[in-house]
Amino acid sequence: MYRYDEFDHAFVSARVEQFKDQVERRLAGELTEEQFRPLRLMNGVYLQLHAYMLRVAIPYGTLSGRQMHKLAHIARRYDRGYGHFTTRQNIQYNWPALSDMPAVLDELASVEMHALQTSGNCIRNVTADHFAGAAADEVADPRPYAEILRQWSSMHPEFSYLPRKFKIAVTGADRDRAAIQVHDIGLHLKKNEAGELGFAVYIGGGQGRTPMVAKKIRDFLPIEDLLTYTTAIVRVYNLHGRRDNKYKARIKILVHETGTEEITRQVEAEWQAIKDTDLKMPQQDVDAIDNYFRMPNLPQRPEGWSQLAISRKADPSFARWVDQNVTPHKNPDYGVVTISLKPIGGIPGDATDAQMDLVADIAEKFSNDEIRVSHEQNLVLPHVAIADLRIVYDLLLTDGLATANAGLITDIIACPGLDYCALANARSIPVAQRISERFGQPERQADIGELKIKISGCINACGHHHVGHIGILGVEKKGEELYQISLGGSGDEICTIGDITGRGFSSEEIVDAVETIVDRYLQVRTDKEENFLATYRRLGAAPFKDALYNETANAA
Amino acid sequence: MSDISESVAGELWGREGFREDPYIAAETLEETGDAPAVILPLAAWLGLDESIRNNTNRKIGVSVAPGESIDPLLPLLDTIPLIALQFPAFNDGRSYSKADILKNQHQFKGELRAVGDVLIDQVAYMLRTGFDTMKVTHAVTLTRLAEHNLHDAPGYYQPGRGSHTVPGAYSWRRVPGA
Amino acid sequence: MSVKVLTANRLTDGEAVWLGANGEWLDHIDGALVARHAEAVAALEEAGKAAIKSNLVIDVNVIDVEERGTNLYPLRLRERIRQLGPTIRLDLGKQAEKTSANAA
Repeated sequence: MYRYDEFDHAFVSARVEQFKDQVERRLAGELTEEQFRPLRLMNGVYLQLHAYMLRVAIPYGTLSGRQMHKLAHIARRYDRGYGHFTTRQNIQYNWPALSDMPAVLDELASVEMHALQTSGNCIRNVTADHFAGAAADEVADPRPYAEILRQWSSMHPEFSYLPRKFKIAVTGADRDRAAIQVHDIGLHLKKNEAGELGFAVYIGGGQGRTPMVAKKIRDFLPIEDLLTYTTAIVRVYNLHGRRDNKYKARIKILVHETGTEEITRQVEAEWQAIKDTDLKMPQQDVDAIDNYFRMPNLPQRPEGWSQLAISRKADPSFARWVDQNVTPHKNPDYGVVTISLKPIGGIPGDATDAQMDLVADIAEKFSNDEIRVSHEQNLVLPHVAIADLRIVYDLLLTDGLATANAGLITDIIACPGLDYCALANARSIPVAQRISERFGQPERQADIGELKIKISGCINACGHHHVGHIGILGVEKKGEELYQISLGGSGDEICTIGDITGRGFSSEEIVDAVETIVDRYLQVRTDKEENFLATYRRLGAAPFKDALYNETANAA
Repeated sequence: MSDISESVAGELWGREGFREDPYIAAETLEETGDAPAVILPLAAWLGLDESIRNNTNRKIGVSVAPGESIDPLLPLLDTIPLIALQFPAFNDGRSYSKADILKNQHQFKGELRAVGDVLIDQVAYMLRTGFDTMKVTHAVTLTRLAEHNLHDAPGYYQPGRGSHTVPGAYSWRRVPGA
Repeated sequence: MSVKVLTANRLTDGEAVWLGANGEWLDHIDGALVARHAEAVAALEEAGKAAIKSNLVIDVNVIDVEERGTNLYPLRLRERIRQLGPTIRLDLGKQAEKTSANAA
């Protein structure tokens, strides 16, 4: 993992001191809310329905046990005993007092964390594959480049007042777990024919009001050009992105209105002018950052496989969890464990202080002191010996963290929605809870197979509904909550935006509607191997629309 | 606090502090009489006869709004004594990119000035992207500038101009000079 | 019939509050100052502006409520959630408090 050096410490401390001063001036009445608002937003402090909300950055979703313990401590001491892990790999606290913010930021700084650039029209927390550095299918670890981008984008003088927020995601595997094609910049780390590392560069993806799949503007960018090329992209966007309409201000609109060919030409022209400046990265600097992310020295544990076979046979629940929540590791003696924050009927992404402490303890003992936050609102233990799976499972079980549903229909992404969020039009969490309960039975989930449901409570799409296999968008109509369904969305390497089925469903109807879709899928799939998305891609929306809106035909 | 900001209102700020602004801003050259230093809007400046623009007896600078392109100026930079990039709202960041392009890609040697609603937290950013002077309206900013409180960071994660120009541990970082 | 009350969030801790008939900001909607005609609504709006200026509250809004017996019932779900707390965590927010003691 990356560790702060003196430079980073001094930088973050200075920012905390500055914000302390601003909070004090605000509480003393020297700053008006109008003056203070942009300042608090730069420090991750929002106002929600019930209280302030603090969004803490977890760069590329990687944290240590010590950092997780600190997050637990903050939840306990300054909040109401829990936190919410988000689709941006961050954590949000829902109840902190403004007067406590400086103390919280001090606590975060003590473990090399902060809340900078978790809001505002700047380059936000850089996200990455949550299995980075561990997954067997990885070409190279994307986190060193995410870290370089994090540093370069921190309080960037030129790029702190962009037309709108700007999100960068990096993946290092062909299987895209970071949803790079729905980001402002998506970087796919790969090797060329000569075996050299570089990036395929995508720009202009995003969700929200006008969802767009990103366009590839470069198939292979050498590593040394990462910062110059990114600068060129963001500069073109800063100069030409629309500022007349908040809803048309993201780079996706610029790319769409300018055309991919022309925007590529502009980026390349800008890049030619700056590619040999000081931002061209010497290999030694890349190596120095890369060093922080080297594969840990994991002891050989070949005994695990025979133990696993025995444990599996003895306990079907454990076997189900291993099948569903453990992913192959680069080292055959190890596995990557997904800790589901989606207990049946629970609140997606929420974790109590005790659960955070437990995960931290387990990570310290059994995962080389590393934890990841996934954009699917789960936690990940990246380096667990197969031989330790049983004990890790038993420990997770003690506090409701061993739900065997990673990637299944109850592994639902949901934004906080109208239960917390000042922007929301409808609730998301209760819909997720009811769907989870409806499909919670293990055999039924297993039979349905991979199916990603994603729910947003407003058009901003924090719940990623556009790329849900089944997406649900809550709106307000005549004072009532109404839910629109879209089908066939996907945030992976074959990225698609879901198609809206038709009229929406009331809060009472929505779970039945989802069940209708799932039942129709089970009827029309070729076999169990054809998952929901594949079936949808083969058949299109017709059979599902028919099931949803044509009750008589549905009776059979 | 307000006393300080009032005493320096209308003055020009540079690294040395506040001073009288030698330039006057006008819509057209005609209305400036024989003022020795004038700033005109981009369209008016571009409309001037070349011989007038190159007249060495008076300085004629050009003011550029965020939505206007600097491209027509690029071939003429050697003859321009001053470019004023406007910040009509604190959240419009286009002029930062233009500053960087003018100073770093095109080696503009004249005075690069930021004009408008500038927050104190932005001053350091402006110096880093290449601005030399500032004509500020924001009272708190004026006060802090008068106190020489620039809100500079202890270091920057990007190359730039201003106070921190010495490379740090990595090629992209900059720390204060010795 | 729908009438109006003034709501906001308290500056120091962000708590939802309502302007009371006594001129204080209340932790609960009970006892809120009810505006039944245009002049009274205008007075609420003025009171809101004054409260922002005095840095007591932020995000001030006039909202529609219905008088149901002695209770005030906000018409929008959003406001009902602000009044009670998250619908999925009945142990949190104002709904979790046993008494409805008003405090400014």
